[in-house]
Amino acid sequence: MRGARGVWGWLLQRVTAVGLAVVLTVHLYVLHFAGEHAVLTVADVSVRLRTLTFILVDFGLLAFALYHGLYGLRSVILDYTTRESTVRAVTVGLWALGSIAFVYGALALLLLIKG
Amino acid sequence: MAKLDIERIRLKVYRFDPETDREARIDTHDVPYVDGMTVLDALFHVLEKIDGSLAFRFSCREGICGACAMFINGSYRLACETQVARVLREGHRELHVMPLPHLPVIKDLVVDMTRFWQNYEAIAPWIVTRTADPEKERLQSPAQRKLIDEYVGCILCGSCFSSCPSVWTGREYLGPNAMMKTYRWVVDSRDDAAVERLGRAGNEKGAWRCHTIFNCTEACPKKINQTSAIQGLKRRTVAAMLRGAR
Repeated sequence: MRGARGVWGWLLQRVTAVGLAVVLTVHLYVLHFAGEHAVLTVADVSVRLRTLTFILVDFGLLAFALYHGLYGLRSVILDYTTRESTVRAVTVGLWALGSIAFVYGALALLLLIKG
Repeated sequence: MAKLDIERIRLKVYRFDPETDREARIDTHDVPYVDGMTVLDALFHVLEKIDGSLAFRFSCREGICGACAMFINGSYRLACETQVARVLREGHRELHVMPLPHLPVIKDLVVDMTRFWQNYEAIAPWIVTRTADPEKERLQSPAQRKLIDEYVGCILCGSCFSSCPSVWTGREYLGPNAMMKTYRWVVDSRDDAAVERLGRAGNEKGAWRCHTIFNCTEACPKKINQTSAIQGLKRRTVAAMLRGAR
């Protein structure tokens, strides 16, 4: 479709919004309402994270929040300029930032999973 | 509307001539009030009886042409169909008449609408067909017509454009009016250029710049939900891409 740009980026932002609504709900419920422990220990968290559900929820939360937030930041920046070169630089820069943050977050989660 | 028991109203009007003034000022006038008086009537009183140099746009005087859109007591309104009594009943003690905000002032209440019109022209706001002209006319069912009912009511006053923060910051942004009008043609059963139209608006200078804050919808004197049209444009652009439209 000639002229159409940024369609998938926008669609993914909407998809991650739905994903965030789901995983955040699970995350907040588990954190504040479920479980019997008044005070969680690292060991508790580690055990919980070893289940497939929580691996999916926590990695999902990390990925969705990063994409959704950084896409929002990109939108704010692009409000001030839509020059092709700037848009490209901003997009590449934010993907790099998001990737680094994801790897950092994933490593932290993996450390917890290993206990 | 019940009568107001007043003889005069205080009118404060924005004045600025970029060719002679260094700063804008507010002129205050006491204008005789008559029942049924509109803000445009009050401005005419100033123009004809007090200060002939006051500049403002008007044409139809019945809310159809959109020329007299102004920022009146903190709201986007058409001066010709805004009753003075209605403004005062909102709790205001005087009339404050300003030009459409965030647009360059040519003089007093007259703003430069060039960008608005350029963006409107850019979306090709006319029917595009690929079939031979019918003998009489291109018919629509009531259901098909209903899809565009709201949007054909737009009088191109520019209030939505003036109220949109993405317009304020993004010089190349199409703006709510041009996108609402794009949607109006995309859903028009008689038009055959939907894919081209979606391509023109479904990009970083168009639909994706809308942050869905509803300023345009709130500003519209004709109560058109432009934000909803822009959302429709986004949905249809995604659907066209998923269908592999070229």
